[in-house]
Amino acid sequence: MLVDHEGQVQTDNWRYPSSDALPTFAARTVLQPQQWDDYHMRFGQPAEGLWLAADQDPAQVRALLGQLTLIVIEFAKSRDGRGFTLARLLRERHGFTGDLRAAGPLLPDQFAMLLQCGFTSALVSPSVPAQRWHAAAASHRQARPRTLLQRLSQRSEA
Amino acid sequence: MNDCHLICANRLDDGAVVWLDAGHEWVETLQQAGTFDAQALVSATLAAEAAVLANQVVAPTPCEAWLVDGRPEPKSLRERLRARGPSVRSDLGKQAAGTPPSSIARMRPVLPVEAGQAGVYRYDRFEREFLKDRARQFEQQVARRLSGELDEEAFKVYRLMNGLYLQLHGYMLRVAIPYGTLSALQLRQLAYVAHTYDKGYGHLTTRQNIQFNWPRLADTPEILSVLADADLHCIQTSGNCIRNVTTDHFAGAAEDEVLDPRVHAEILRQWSTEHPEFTYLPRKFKIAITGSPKDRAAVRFHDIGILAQRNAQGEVGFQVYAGGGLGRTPIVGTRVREWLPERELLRYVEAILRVYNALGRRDNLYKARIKILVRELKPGRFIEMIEEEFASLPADHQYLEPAIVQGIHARFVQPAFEALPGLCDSFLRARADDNAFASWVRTNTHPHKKRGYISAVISLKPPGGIPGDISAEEMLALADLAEAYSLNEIRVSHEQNVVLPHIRLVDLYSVWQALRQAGLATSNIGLLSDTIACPGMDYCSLATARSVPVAQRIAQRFDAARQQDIGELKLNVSGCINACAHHHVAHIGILGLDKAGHENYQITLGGSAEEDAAVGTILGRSVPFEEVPDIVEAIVAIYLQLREDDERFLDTYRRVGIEPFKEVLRDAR
Repeated sequence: MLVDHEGQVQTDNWRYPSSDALPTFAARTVLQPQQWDDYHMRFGQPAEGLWLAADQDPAQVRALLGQLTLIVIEFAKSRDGRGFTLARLLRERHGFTGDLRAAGPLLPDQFAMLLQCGFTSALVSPSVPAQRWHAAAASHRQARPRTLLQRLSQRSEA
Repeated sequence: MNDCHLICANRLDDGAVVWLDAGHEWVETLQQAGTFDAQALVSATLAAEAAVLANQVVAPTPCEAWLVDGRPEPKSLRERLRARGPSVRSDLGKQAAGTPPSSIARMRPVLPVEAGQAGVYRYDRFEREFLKDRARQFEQQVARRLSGELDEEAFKVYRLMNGLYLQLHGYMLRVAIPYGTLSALQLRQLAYVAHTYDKGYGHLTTRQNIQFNWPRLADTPEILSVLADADLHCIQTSGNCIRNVTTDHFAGAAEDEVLDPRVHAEILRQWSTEHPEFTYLPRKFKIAITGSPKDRAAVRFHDIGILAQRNAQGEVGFQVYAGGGLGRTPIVGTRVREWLPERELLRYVEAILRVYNALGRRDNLYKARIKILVRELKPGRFIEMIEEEFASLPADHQYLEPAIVQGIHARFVQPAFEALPGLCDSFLRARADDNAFASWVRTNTHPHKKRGYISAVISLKPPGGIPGDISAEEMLALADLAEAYSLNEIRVSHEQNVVLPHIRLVDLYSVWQALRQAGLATSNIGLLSDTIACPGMDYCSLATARSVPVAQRIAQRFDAARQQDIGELKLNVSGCINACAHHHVAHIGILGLDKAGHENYQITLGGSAEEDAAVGTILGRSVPFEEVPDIVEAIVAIYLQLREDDERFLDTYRRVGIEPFKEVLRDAR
């Protein structure tokens, strides 16, 4: 199930071919790094989406970023937080501006943190009621800076 | 004696220990428990699994037992303790059935007070509202758990984010005491929680937390809300996040302090609370900071240890250590920065955390701490990686500007110190006339930065007591004293004692008399019986042996005069390899192990948590529970023979090495 940054369920127009099968050509295809070159050579144009494991070194895929409209970061477990760091690096250090999508056994209670690290959508389990994602996004939007440090920092960075 | 099996679990809603009976119902006493042979165990296990799915119980475990005169007796000490209660508190647990703990009138404090009126760091209403929100959020999560929407696996993430553990006898709630600082009002609120939701006491931990051992799951959201009314919380007291930041227990008072480290500790607390990137780290992450050249916060044994300093220009900066820790792999931290300008503090800490979050091991729980990453990368490479990360951070981000430090500093209540003379006749007279007072002053006080003031340590290690345990009545007595004599302030120490930081010298004798009245004037700070002890197997589900009774039996061998004669001697007792009682850094460290079902204890000598940080050396084979006091007495006897002049135990050990002490294990038995 795909939810957007507002926690709304959206139709997912992307396809995520498995890494074993040879992908056919189609718009909105998400590939893993090892499939990338082969696909590009065979069809003469790159895929628009990239699927990354959370332990990916972002510097190694830097050359691809300009061609992408979507990056999916896979969380192996809800408690494996490497994807948060990878997302921030892609946004802050490598300037990725496309859709950044979290995938894996994530919890709605983690949504605010995902959004703060730069994610803009998530592939989530349908077993969690969809309104929990919506509610999490809504309460994140309404949240004020919760600490004095945040308020003072915003003031000094403004 | 016939072998059989029992199935023991904790009841979901209140955590009570229960057993499955012959008819597959859950019962509260061992006598009623069903005893299953191998064949009957199969259907009993299925019944227990069904009870988990029905959200009646958590973590049912089959355990082996004997039938003694028709009654089941678990084979393992852990299960026997669960069936009975803590061996050090015969009034608690199953053994206390029918005798509710004594209780004074349960007066709800006149709270909530306004935000900003509760703590020494004054919350504003947004910060207060955040705590109340967290309590409400947890209320919903608990409701979802009790209704069965969340199973234990999913719920565990949430309960650990709120300091709620499941231990041997039930749930345990750990409350943070950030940088060890409390107001009188906050201590009263903790006393209220102890009375109302627990069994009349709390336990101070070695990381400036207090834990309650008997809360019901269903009550915990209300407890969080009551704590929030006094700007207290359980955030960052468990889970793989940045934990409660700890510091010197004389912070803000010590004569030798160059900087009050609590301002930067509070900055780190705010920065790390619900940090979006660093809440799901490979493992827990502990930061300590001190503002004095004398390290009373064990900073070299933390994931990050920070020593605040001033340079020749008077500017604030930090020496930074990383990758220190105790546990199964004790390591002294690596100095990663000699001088870090104040402005860069959060950026640099972020760089360390980021390297760790990306590269720390997640495949093996025991190799997941940052110290293993530092060891595997080698310190030189680790420092390079931090510096690379640090240099690549966005240029507009998270500088700790002077206005920010001032803003946080301004939130701390400034104690209204009076201008006082340095010496005080009545104090000098009382000290000269009253030997007991003089002895207490010698061991339990510390020089204050303001003339005419002194800090006093209240020992929570009375003879026969449980290190770190403090009753609600004691909390109330200390809150009263803090209000009357310590400018409303209290500290708790990682050595599990309490400090009244700001006492006027002229008041010290009165304070001591009041403490003596309350049974809180034990003069043993820094002496042998000022033992750090973890709860051990009496409470903790991770423990492999008991620790408190060992500490008690050792202390019994040394009366006050003998301890004074021995002088400074740090003796710590941990109940398992996780080393919560810091046994590696004790002058005499004792580690409880399970050896073929029996409690055995390994002894280390020569550890230090201070500037001269060192990990103790193992003396030799481990010894059984009963022999530990004899061995410790023998070690001390050798020291007394060998010591020159006023040499401390640690100095004698360093001069003569471990060899002379090995004799004690050859002689035993």
